[in-house]
Amino acid sequence: MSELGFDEFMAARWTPLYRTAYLLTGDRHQAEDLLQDALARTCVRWSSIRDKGAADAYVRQAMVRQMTRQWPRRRREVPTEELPETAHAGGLDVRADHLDLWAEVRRLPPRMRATLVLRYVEDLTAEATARELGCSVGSVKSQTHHALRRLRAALPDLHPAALSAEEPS
Amino acid sequence: MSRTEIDTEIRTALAGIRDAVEAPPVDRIALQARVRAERRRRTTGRVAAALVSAAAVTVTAVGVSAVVRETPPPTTDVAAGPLATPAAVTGFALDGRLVVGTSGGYEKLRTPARTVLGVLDGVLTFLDREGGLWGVPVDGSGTTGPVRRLLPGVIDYSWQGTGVLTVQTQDGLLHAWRGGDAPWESRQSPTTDHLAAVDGGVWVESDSSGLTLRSGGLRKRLPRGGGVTGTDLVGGTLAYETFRALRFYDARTGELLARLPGQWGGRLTPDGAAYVGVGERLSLVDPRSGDRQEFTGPEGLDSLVWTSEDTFVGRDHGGGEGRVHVLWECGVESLSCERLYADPAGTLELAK
Repeated sequence: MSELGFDEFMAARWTPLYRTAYLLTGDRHQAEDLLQDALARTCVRWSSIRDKGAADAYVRQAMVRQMTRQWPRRRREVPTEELPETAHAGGLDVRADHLDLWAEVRRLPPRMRATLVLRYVEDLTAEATARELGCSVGSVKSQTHHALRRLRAALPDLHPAALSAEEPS
Repeated sequence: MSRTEIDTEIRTALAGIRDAVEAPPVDRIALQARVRAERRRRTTGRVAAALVSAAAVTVTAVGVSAVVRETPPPTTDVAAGPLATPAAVTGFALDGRLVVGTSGGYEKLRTPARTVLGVLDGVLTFLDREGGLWGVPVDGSGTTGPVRRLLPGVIDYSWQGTGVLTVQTQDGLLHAWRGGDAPWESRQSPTTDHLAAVDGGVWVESDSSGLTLRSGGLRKRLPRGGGVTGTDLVGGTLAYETFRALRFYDARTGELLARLPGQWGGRLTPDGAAYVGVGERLSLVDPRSGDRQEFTGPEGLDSLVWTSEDTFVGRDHGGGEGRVHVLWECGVESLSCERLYADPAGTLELAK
C-alpha cells in the first residue's frame, strides 16, 4: 500500500482542520492563516512523520502551540466589547444560546479558548491537553476553571447551573 | 444540571459552531509560498548556525537579521523605507496595503493587497485576501491611476510577468488577459481535477494521488519525490519541485531534461529558457543541462516576481514573521542583486 501523500492528506483533512482552527481563533482569516502555517510546517516535515495517521494531531498541535505562544505576542490582544466578524458569527446556522456562548468563548484569551476546544471538542484528557499545549496538567485545570468562571459571569441567564462546574468529566 | 449535562451543553454548542463553519477552498498559492518560506527558514537557520559558530560573519545591520535567524525580532521603531529605486515597476504589500515602486520612488496606496502578480501592459495586478484580482495603471513616470477590480473569486494564477495572464476562478473557469484594454477570454478548465499549472494547451493536473503532465495526447505521471512543493510551466518547459529534487521536463514530450537533487523553490524565466531558484543558494539554472550559476547578493529569496524579461524581485524574510523583510531586485544578465526596501516590521509580502 502506498504511503499517504501530503496532498492527499491535506485534501482529506482541510475542512475539519479549518474548523478546529476557527474554534481556536474565532476568526475566519486568522483560522486560515493559522492552518496554512501549520500545514506548511507539516508539509516540510512530512517525510519525517512516521505515523501518517497521526498527522491530524501533528497539525492540531502546531496550530495550538502557535496560537497560544506566538499570536498573543504578535497581535497583542486587547480586550474589547466589539468582536470582529460579528456578522459572520451571527450568520452561523446554530441555536441562539449557542451563539451567545460562542461569542463569550471568542472573548477568552487564546490559551483558555484552546483548552476548552481541546477538552470539550477534541475530547482530550487533561493530560493529553497539557501535552498539546506544552504546559502542566495543573495549568490545564486552572485554565478550564477560569474559562468556565468567565463564561458563567458573562452568561448568568443562559444556563445558570450549566457553567458552574470546573472540570469536564 | 449534572456534570454530564454541563459537558454536553458546552460540547454541543462548540460542536454546533464547528459544524456550521464553511471552510474556504484551499489557497494553494498561499500554502505553497508558506511551504517555501518554511523550507527556507529551516535551511537558512542551519546555515546561520554554521556561520555563527565559525565567527566569520561580517554584515550590515540589515544583514544581521537576514542571516542570523536566532537574534530577537527587531523593534518596529526602525523606520521602514526604501534603500534604492527599482529598475522596473515593482509592487508589494506592506502591512496588507499596496506599495508601488518606480524609478521615481515608492507610493503607498491604501488599497488592501495580499499577492502581487506583476505589471501587465502598464497595469500592476494584485490579489486581495478574498481572491479579488485588481489592477492599477502605472505610467512611465510612476504615476498611478485609479484602482479597479478586474475579476472576483480568483483561486489560482499562472503568469511569468510578461505575455498572457491566466487565472482560475472559483467556478473552475480559466480567464486569460493580455493587459490594458484587451478583453478577458474565458474558457472551461481542461480538467476536472485541480489545475496545478497551465500554459496554453499544456497543463499539469493534480488528483489525490499525484500530478500528471498533460499535453495533446501526452499523459505523463510525475514522480512524487516525497511530496510536491511547486510547479512552473512556461514556454514548453516544466519546472517540477519536490522534497527530493528539482526536475525539468520538456512539457510537450514529457522528456526529463535535467534533475538537481535537494529541495528547491523558484520560478522559470518569462520565456521558460532558464530557472531562478533557491537550493542552497539563489541560482540561475539551465533547464536543459542542469548547469547552474550563483547570484551575488542574498543567499535565498522567496516570493519571486518577474518585473521584466530579465529582472525579478524577491523577498528575504529574515527567517520568519516579525523579522526584517528585505525586498531585493536581481538581474539575470548580471547575476547580481540589490536591496530595494527594508521593512523592520516584517510585513512585506510579494507573491504567495
